[in-house]
Amino acid sequence: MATTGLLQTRDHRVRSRLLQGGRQVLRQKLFYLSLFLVVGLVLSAVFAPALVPYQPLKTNPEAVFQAPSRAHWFGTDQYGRDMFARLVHAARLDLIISFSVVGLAFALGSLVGAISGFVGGLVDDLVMRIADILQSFPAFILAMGMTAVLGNSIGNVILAIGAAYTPYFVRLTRGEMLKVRQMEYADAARCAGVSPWRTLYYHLLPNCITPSLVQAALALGWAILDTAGLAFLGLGICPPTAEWGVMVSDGAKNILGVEWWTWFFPGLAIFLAVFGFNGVAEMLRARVLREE
Amino acid sequence: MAAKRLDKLTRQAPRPMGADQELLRVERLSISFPGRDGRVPVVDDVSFDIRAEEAVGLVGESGSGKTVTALAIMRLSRRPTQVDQGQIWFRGENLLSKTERQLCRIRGRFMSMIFQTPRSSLNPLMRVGDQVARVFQIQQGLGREQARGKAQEMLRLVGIPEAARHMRSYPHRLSGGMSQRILIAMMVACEPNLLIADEPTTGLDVTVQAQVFELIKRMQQSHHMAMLLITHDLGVIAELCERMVVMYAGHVMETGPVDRVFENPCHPYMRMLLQSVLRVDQKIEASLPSRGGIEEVAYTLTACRFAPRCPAAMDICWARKPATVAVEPGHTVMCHLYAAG
Amino acid sequence: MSLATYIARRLGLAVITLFGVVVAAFLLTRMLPGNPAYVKAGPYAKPEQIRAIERQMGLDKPLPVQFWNYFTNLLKGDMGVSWSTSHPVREDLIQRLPATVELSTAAFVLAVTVGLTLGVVAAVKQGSVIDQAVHLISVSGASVALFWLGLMLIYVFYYKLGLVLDPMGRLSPLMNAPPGPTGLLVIDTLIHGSFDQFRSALGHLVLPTVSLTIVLAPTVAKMARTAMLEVLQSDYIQTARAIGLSTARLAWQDALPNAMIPILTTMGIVLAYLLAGNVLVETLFAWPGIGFYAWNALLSNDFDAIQGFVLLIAILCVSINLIIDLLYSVVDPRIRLG
Repeated sequence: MATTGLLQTRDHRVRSRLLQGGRQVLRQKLFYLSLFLVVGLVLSAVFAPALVPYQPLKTNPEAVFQAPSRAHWFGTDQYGRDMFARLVHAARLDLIISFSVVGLAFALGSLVGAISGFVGGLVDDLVMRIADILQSFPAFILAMGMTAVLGNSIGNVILAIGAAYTPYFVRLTRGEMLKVRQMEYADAARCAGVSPWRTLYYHLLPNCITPSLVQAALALGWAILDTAGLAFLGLGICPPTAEWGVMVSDGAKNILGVEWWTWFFPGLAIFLAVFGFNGVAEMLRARVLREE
Repeated sequence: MAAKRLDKLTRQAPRPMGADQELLRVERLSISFPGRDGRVPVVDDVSFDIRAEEAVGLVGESGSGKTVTALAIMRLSRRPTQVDQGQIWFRGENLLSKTERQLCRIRGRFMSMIFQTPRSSLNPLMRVGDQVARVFQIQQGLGREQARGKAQEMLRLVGIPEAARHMRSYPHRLSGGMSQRILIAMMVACEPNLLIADEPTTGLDVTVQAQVFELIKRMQQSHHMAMLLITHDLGVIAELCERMVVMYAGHVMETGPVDRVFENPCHPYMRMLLQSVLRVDQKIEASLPSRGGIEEVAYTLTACRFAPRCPAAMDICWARKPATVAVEPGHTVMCHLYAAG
Repeated sequence: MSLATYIARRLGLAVITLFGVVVAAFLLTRMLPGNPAYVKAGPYAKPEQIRAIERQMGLDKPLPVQFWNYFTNLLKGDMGVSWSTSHPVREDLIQRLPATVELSTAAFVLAVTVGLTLGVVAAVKQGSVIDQAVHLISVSGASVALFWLGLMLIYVFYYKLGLVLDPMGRLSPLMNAPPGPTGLLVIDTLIHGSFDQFRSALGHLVLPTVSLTIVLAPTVAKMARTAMLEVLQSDYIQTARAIGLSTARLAWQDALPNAMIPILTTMGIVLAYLLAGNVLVETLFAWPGIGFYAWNALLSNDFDAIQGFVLLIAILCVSINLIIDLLYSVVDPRIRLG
């Protein structure tokens, strides 16, 4: 019974070639699927709201709780609103929030992390201490607390989740900066008389952010989960706004009934979106690793 | 109960082989490794053999494929290195056609290997005595107390001072030399037929090196083992081995009895090695002419790989790989200078 | 460095972090844009009402004084009063903590067991179908919304299949919880020998635990796999093979113990996820733990309760990470013996 793994045994030549080929193929398929999901998501978010004939907030008391049909592809909810329309509008909203969150955390975190790593010393210690303290709170809990205090609005959600994610990027970029700072070209630039800030901006920073890009892709997925989670708890985005978490929360009231489409599809949308982002992040990570 | 006793019987020490019987025969072994543009053949068409209780030295500089060959013999090659061609006959059976389960029964009991980096080759979380004792437990089915007793005996045998106390030591407390002794104890514990020692003194002090070599030789003789000693140090070969195999860039360039090869080096590479050894115990690398190393050789499968560095290179050396011929009984060389016709 | 130095240093760090956490929790409700008094008063309050509430919350004093009051109160164990339950926040949290502990422990144990096994098998059989399946499961588990998963489990196992008797709460509403010593119903009911109650408690525990496990185990599996793969490349694993150990044996005897050291570090992360996920799961299953309490506090803008909850979670996280680091020193002889 030949085994796979780190050893070569019986028919090793044939088997390992097959496996390497097989493994690649599955990985490839997964990547393309993820890419397809993400692209599909973005396209839907951008174009679909204009194309779908229904409005997400328009109630229709006569079409309450209709099962998926040709008229309503994903059915209607308890107010007769078309699920498909709400789903694509929610996609738009969730993507906007997600990209804003990651944009904020990435920009702020990378900048602070790079400066912290570059300057070193007491500033670096202080920044790392603060990052440690912030990371002692689970990100979701921190976002939860902040949203509760700030109040429910899209902007506050972005701020809260973005603030919770920032320490991760600070840490990553700082780590890279510490590595990169040692390298020769930083010294070379300094010798050539380039001011330290210029060095930081043009030479060092671009090289520090690569691992952060992988994290950013992952964070796009997490942000969707966190936004939906907050909405499910009643924080941040509230009904009647179409957001996936809000929709699941609405649909949850019907869990013990036949109207499964009211909670199933929004959750499925979340799953597909996050799965896509996770897959893309894996792809980025594989590419980054290969380059090293 | 009966099954357990039977199992215990089959775990006894291997039946000793008569001296001079063929123990290991490597036949036309080719191993490759993935490179940037396809697979790179790191070992190409290598053949040699080892008899029971014989000490054979495998010499070559780094990159010659010595370690890769040894790992292949033990069937410990790590992915993505893979054996492309050839056979490895051990005690009459082809190791390349054996399953992992079968190989587990062979390793440790019939053949074992001492590695280059002793300090990292010991499990950091396990006491040293337990690691040696475990070999007895696995291979001879001994109980814990019995195994510990034998382990302590082994520690004493390999020259660990205060064996009883060191049984309870953790590896990170031991020096390089001591770690290597522990490894030797583990690998010799069950008196295997073949002991492979891959540059066992890398990173050790010069004085410690001498002690380790002396220990290995002593173990080999007292336990009636055959030995494949891999090294780049000709002096050690001269001291400890009866026959030698010279490798360069994945090929076997010359084989033969040590005294014959030293007295009458045929291959230009061997001659170069002997000339550049200023003192018996000096490493080869330090004194080889820097006219390009193995890394710069394009791994062509047809020409002689030594041609770029060979002082006696002829046109044919770039065109065709030489055949292996015997210049005298037991002494072979692969070089166009000696090719028939 | 010696063990004593290591422990001292680690404890010192923990104390600093804890203090920082307290400051952060304080700032959470005090310094953010958006006056908490406005929120508490509601959108229709008159200015005098808002000012009264400000005074009540101590918002009219300078910030450092506010913090000092807060800190000293905290040291006395006073976390304020929940204005929805009218009890001190500390009492509320302590009362509900056992429920959360029960759920979290069950989920943690299950997730780690499943995750470790999957991770080890995936590492040993790297590249095989099992490895790829584990990878797929990992990514899927990390992509699914916890509350949606819980809903699906309720729908399938309770509504459709009827395998679970009641997805809400910890115990059938017809039963009384035993006064029991631990507060963990599954254990208490056994101690008191009431098997009906035991079955009910267990039945209620199943779905929330499984939900959390499905979301957490993939992360554990991934980390276990990475750690195992790295350890399996080690020289001492090669030695183990060379003495004839089968792959299965050396995976569990040699590789896993060494892999546990990096895996332990990542347990802290898993626990953070667990505590965060708790809020969602408790809310969905009406599990009366601190997460459910927090949700109610959120709905009623009960700031003292929210603040107390957030602080408690952070303290738990810091403490658990500290314990993990100290465990390190026990497990790894290189640290223990120096």
